[in-house]
Amino acid sequence: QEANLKRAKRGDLKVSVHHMEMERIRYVLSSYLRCRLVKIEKFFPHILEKEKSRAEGELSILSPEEFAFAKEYMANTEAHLKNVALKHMPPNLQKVSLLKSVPKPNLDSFVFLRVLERQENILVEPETDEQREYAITLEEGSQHLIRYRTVAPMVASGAVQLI
Amino acid sequence: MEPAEVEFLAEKELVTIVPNFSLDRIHLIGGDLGPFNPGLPVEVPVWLAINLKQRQKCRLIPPEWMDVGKLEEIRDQERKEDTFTPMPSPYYMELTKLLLNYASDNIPRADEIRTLVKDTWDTRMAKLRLSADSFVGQQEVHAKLDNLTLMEINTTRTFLTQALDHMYKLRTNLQPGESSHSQDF
Repeated sequence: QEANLKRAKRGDLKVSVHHMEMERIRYVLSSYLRCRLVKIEKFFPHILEKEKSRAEGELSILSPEEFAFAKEYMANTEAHLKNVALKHMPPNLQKVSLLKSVPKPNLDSFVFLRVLERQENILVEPETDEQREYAITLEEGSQHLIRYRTVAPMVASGAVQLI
Repeated sequence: MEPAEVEFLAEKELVTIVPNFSLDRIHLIGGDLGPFNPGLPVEVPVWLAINLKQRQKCRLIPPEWMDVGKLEEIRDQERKEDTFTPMPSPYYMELTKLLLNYASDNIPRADEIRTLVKDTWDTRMAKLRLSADSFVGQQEVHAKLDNLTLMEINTTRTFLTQALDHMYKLRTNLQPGESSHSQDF
C-alpha cells in the first residue's frame, strides 16, 4: 500500500517538474518568436530586400515561416494603403515606395553588452568635433554601453553578447 | 526587457534546499537534478526551489551572502566607493525578493536583510543616475559598466538609450554635407 503511494507521488512529482521546465522553455521560445515577429513588422521592406540580395549558399536570416509572414505582411500593407488612400490619388501619385518610407533599423543606437572574447584596439568615434577618436580594449567579462555600429561585427561573431 | 523577464533569468540560479521527500535523479532538458533524499541538502534552480517550498516539500537554505554581517559590509563598501562595487550575485536583488517572499521563515533576520539590500540598491541607483546624467551631458560615446547587474541596467535602459539616440540624431543633423541617416524621399 505504502509502496504504491510512494510510486504515485514520485511519478507525480517527476511529471510536474518536467512540466514546469517545459513551460519555462515554451515561454522563452515564444518570447523569442514574438520579438522576431515584432522586428519583421517594423522593418519588413528592408528585411525582404536583404533576403532578395542574399548570395547563393548564404544562410537566410529568416525561417521559412517567417519569410512567408514577411511577404504576406508586405502584400497586405500594400493592398491596404492602395484601398484606403492610394487609389483615390491622381494617377501619377499612386505609387509609394515602402522601402523608402518605412524607417530603417537604426544601427547607431546605443546598446549594452558583455564581452566574451577580449577585443583590442576598438576605435571609438567621438560625437563632437572637439573630441578625438580613441581606442579601447574590451576585456573579457566586462560590460559596456556603446554605439551598435562600433561593435556590430563582434556581435555577429559572438565575441560580445548584447544584454 | 521587463523586470519580470530579468526575474525569469534570475530563477535559473542555483540555491540549496533540504527536501523532505525522496526522488531519484531527474533528467531535465536543462541538466540533471537530484537525487533527492530527506534531510540531505541538494542544489536546484530557484524556480524549482520556490515551487517545492510552496508545496511544503523542502526548506530553503539562504545563500552565504544573505547574512546581516556580510550585507552590512557590502552596503558600507558601496557607500564608500564612487564606483560600483562587485555584488555577491549578478541577481542579488531578484534572489532577495524571491527568497524573502516565499521562504522568509528559513532566513534568519529577514527584515534586516531586506532593509540592507534595499539600502545597497538605493545607493547604487543614485550612482547610476549620476553617471547616466554625466554620460549624456558630456556627450560620451562609450562607458564601462562592470559590476552593474542586469536589473540595474534594465531600469535605465529605455530612457538612456532613447535619450542617447535622440542626441545622436540631433547632432548628426547639425553637420551639413554629412551623409544623413534620414530617409530620402
